Amino acid sequence: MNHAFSYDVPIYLQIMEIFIGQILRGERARGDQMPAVREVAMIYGVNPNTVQRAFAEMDRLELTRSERTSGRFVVASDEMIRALRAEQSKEAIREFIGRQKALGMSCDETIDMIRKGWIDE
Amino acid sequence: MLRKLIALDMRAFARQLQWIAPIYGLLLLSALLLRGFNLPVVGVVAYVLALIGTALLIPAVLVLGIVRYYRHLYSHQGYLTHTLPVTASQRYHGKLISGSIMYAAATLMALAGVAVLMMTKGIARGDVFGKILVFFRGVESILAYLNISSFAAALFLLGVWLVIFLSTFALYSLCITAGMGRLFSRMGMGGPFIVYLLVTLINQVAGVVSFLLIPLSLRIAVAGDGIRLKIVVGFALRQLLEMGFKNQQMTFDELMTLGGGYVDFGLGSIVIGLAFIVFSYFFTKRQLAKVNLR
Amino acid sequence: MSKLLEIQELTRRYGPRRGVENISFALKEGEIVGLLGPNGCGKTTLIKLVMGLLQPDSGSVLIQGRVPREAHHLISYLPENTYLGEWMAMEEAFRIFGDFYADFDRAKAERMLGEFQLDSRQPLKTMSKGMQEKAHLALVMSRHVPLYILDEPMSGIDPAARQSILDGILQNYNPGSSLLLSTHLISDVEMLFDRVVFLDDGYVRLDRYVEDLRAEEGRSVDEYFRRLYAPAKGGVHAS
Repeated sequence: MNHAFSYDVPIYLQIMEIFIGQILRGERARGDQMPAVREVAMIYGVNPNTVQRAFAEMDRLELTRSERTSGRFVVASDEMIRALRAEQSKEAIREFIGRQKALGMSCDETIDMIRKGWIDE
Repeated sequence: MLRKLIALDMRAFARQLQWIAPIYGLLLLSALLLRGFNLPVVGVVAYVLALIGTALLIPAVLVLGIVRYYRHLYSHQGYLTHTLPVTASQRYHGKLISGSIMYAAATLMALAGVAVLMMTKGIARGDVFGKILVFFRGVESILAYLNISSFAAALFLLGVWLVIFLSTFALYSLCITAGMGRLFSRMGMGGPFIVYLLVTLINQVAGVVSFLLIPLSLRIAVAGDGIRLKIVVGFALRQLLEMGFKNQQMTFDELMTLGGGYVDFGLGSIVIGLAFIVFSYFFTKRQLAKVNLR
Repeated sequence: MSKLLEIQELTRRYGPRRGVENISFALKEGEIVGLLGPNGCGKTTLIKLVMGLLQPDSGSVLIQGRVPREAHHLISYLPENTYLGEWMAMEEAFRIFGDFYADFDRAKAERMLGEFQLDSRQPLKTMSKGMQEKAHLALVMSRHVPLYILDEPMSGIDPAARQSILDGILQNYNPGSSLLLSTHLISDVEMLFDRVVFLDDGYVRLDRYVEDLRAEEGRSVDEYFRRLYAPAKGGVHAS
């Protein structure tokens, strides 16, 4: 097991997060085959039904599609990926802004900090 | 599946025999050599030890049967035995049949042992089989006295031999199965002992009652030079009452004269014994289907 | 999904003591269910009733419509303590399983034993508790059956060995089969379950899908039970 799940959030959501992240970063491109449910279950040490649920949810979001005979493939279009990336990015930024405000940071200060940080990374 | 259950038991028995057989063999061999060549003291000691070993052989195998019955069905191993895909009656019959095979094996070993012990004295004299021949001649004359054919005698002995095993099995299987049942669930190993005491008590009472109520007797009658045995329908008690209880210390001949040429012995307790075997068979088999393991 | 195991209003008492009390639940095909609760809460009693090793006072157990004593070919059972003779090596145990269970996959059992780095000729009595547990697991998981019932497969075992036992279960149970696993160590295994049934003093205190529980309570199963259980016991001195 090379991934630490937090047990207080549904595991299937965390598995979705892992695979959606891979798709967003382009590690799994359109047309790539997804690993088998059982294989994923074993790698992460989780219940196969949980993995199945995560994948079914990704199918529902039309990020992947299960072909009866040949397995499950990534089918997310570039448009969809862009939209999803934007959505998740917005979500992360909203959270981030909330925290900066709580620290008493202004918008300009924050942006300066980000610039500096981005270059250092 | 029954065959596999028996094979499983036989493997367990073979493991126990690994200890018993060599020890017993060694006892016999030492008796044969030491006594055979007339070594003083050591020879007698070896002979007596082998004799004790022979006498204990069959009881020991019966006790091992009890241990196996308990272990396989009621100890932690019971969790496996009772979850194998076989029926309760197969489990029961498996124990019954494997137990009888082991009993037969022990009997054969003991008989071989007796033959060896009979041979010990003859070795030094060069007359190895002398004692065995004498033994058979003795048996022949007894059979003639009793007016029994050797076939009937063999059949009778076989019957007795079998009943010894069956009644032992009937007793311990019932005691363990009932004693490890729900009723005694908090008594540990006490359960089987309590059932044993109860069964013994009931058998005693039933023996007395059966003597009074079951009209079946063994009649021993004078016939020429010997006697004749016969099973008759009738109460032995009647003759006993007719004869009165005059003298406890009578010779056999006086008894015969008093009885009018015959004496009856009640067979009621034997009937009860056989009935117990049948009862135990059905009862225990049924109880085995509804185990409550601890 | 149809019902594989159906328990209805099952009660079994030990004299005045409670064993299990009016328990009803069903196991669907393909489900992995955790039977949880502190020691002595009735988990083993319930499992023994399902295996036909105990007789109920009332209620019923059906496995694919069969009563327990006619369903042993459908269930692969790992008892709380060993059910093998302590003199036995796994070779003999494999032979017994091969003899009696048509669904026993000996090659798989030997492979698992190899993965656990155990020797099939080593007698059980010379093995550590962890080794014994692994050896039993190799035996039990190598049957192809619709239902696996594992009673406390990880008690008394150090955490490192626990993980390999968990992996052994997950990697070797038959896809599509159901698994009922009892344990009092919730945190180690909660990733494994679809559903948990929590027993408390013989009663079913809770029967819930774990992902629903996490979503609705925002807590791990372990944490949820700690909170649920602690107040009932006075909330002090958790041992």
